[in-house]
Amino acid sequence: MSRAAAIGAAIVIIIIVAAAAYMVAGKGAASPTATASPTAAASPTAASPTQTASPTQAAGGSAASKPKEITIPVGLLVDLSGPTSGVGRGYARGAVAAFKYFNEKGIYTKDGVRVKLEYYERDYGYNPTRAVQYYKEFRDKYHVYAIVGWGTADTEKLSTQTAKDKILYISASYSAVLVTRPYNFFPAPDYSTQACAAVTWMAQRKPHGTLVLLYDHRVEYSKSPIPAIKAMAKKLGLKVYEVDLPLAATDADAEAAIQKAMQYHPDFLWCGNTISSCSRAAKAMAKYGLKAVMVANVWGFDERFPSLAGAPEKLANLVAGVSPWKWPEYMKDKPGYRELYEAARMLGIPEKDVNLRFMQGFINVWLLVKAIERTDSKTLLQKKGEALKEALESSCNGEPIKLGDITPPMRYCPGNHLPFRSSYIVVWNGKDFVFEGPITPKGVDCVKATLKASGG
Amino acid sequence: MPAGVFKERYSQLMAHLRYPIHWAGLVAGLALLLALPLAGSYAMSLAIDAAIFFVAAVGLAVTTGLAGQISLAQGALLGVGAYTVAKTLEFLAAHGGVPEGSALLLIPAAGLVAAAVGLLVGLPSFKLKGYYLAMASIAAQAVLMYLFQRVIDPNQGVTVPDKAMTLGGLYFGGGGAALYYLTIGVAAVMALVAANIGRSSIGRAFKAVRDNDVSASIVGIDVAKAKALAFAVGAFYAGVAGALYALYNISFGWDAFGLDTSIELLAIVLVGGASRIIWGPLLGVLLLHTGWSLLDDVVSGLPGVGLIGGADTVKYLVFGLLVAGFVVGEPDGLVGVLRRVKEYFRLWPFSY
Repeated sequence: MSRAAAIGAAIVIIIIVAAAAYMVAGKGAASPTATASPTAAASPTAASPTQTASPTQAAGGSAASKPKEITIPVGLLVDLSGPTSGVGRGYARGAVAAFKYFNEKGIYTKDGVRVKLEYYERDYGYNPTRAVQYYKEFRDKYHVYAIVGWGTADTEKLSTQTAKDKILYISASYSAVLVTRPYNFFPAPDYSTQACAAVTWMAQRKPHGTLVLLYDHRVEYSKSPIPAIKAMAKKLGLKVYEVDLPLAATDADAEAAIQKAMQYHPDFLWCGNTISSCSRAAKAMAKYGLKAVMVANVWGFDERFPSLAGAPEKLANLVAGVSPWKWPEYMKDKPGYRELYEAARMLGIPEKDVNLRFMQGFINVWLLVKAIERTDSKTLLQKKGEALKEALESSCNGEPIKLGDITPPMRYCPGNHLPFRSSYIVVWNGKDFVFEGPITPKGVDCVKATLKASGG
Repeated sequence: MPAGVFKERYSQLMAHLRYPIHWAGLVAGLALLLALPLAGSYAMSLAIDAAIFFVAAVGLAVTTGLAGQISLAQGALLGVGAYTVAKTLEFLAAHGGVPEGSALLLIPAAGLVAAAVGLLVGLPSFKLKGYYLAMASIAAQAVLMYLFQRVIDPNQGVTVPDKAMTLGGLYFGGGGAALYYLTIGVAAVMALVAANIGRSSIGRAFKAVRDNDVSASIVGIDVAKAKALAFAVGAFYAGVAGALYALYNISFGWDAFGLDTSIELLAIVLVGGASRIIWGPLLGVLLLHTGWSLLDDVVSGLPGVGLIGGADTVKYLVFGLLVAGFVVGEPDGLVGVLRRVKEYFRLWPFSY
């Protein structure tokens, strides 16, 4: 290399070091466009240091006088690129829409102080290690009060830490393990309770049938409800077999899994993965003419399922999914669902994109908004995430939380964050989805069955 | 500027700090490291993370840079260290309780366990060289990963108990100042030891094996022993780094110890400069690991990144280009670039 190249290299290194120093100081955190935009709080990666600093100043300086407006930082951890991105993108879109919608509409604490949510979105690609990295960034750099998160492995892993750091964590994972964790919340029954509802439904259709569990034996999300399913099936007299189906399955994987499942002559299949994997399994079912009824986990079944699986007619009454809520398309004018469509209209999101995934993201942020509405400004600034947690837990003996008609009245009690226990079984009849239920599993404590198996 | 050799004793010749600028650099560096916690907890987190990867990379630099034995199993060996700590504590918790501060005592133990595993990983090196050895180490990585997934940690998550990380009122978990000073201290000691390995008879044996193992055996070096030792030492470093990793993350799963981590570590060593076992990994970690963490904030925020596979895709593209560029254009890595810059300024402005 020549002398010029050496100087060039030196300059590049100096610039990198300078940039690193600048970023560590927390000034250049966001993309430059975001800082320039006037509506910083509403833009996806907004980070203007003055705003982030405002709540802490208000907390330290003027405890007596009421602040006019509080801005609180929130982390948003989503999967836009990993194996669960098929459902993760819709979720992220819903969560972002909710942040913008509620910011615009105004969130007010009990004592009437307006709260703005400043959110930081990070795509972690379903890689728990990266989730931990981003968590540290959220905590140490942005000092977030709450995180709206995603997967089971990462949420479970972080739950010890969030409890220690007192950060409210609302996840898209409804794992039973999280029910007992102090800072974890979600507006749904846990996976195990949902799966038990599915097993109850199966037993009602055909007592003493055979059930094959298709799920990824290495993925925490897929494994989560399995002990509960086994306990419930034992109670109701179903025979259970297990077959490994990768979360990132190819058609070949799915076909191999279905062929293996067919050896057991199943009446029912449980698909515990997400939609891309489960729809491939359904496709393979149609290909080999397996006449068993597949019930998929909540993340494994939505509006797109029949078209993703190909053969929508062939699969009539053979595919179904668990869902704790009715889907937006069927409930358009009902309270709660109205807000979804209003938010979509406001942000120019086409109505057809307001689907189950969008709603799941939306209601998670809504739960956070409910927490803010149930606290007062002083407590919020002083106790941050702890204030939000206490606000949600005030529903235990106080007024329950309702997200319109989307959920039944929800109560979160300290040590037991299971807000309600009923789920629908959504069956594809060849033309449309039919909601059966709601079913509340009885006879087996499904949360406990899972907790016992995971040693917690 | 010294204009001749003024060293009168052997110890002067071999001293790590020979010139005034070394002393000045040491004082400035120490001051910076000691004062870093003032810059906030995020800076501290980054520094701890960097120090952990630095230790693992120094180990790989001994194996690959000094002894020439390419290894793509360093990520899994990191895992061996981390799981040694977590699983031992789990065992203790089930059998009578966890003594206070025991996680700290397990740091060297994790290194030793990893060194034993590293010996096994290095066995194929007796017969294999170059690409074939790389393939064998990938196989070892895969086997270890399988064990993590199926046997050691089927639930994809273990937690280090708080009590094990508390000693004398100080809490060494997460990313606090106590862990920061511990990590920096361990990294400094490990670096010093590695620097001295390079100057010892063992180090010279490593270099001889690296340059030509047939000639090395002719001059009387036990090649098999040298290779095994190189793997064991490298793995020891990975194990210690893994133990620190367990303390830093508190809860972790096997996903952190995959082939991508091994590749990242090898990239750090190659881009930093495999010829210098301290400075190479240090520069490599700062550029590829910490630099990436900082860049990541920007990249993840860009629109459309999710469509091409997320920030990770961009990371691997950047990694790949950097490694390819350095291997082709500058085999000495960043160290080589800096050395040339130094030479230029030494003679400046009268270079020729």
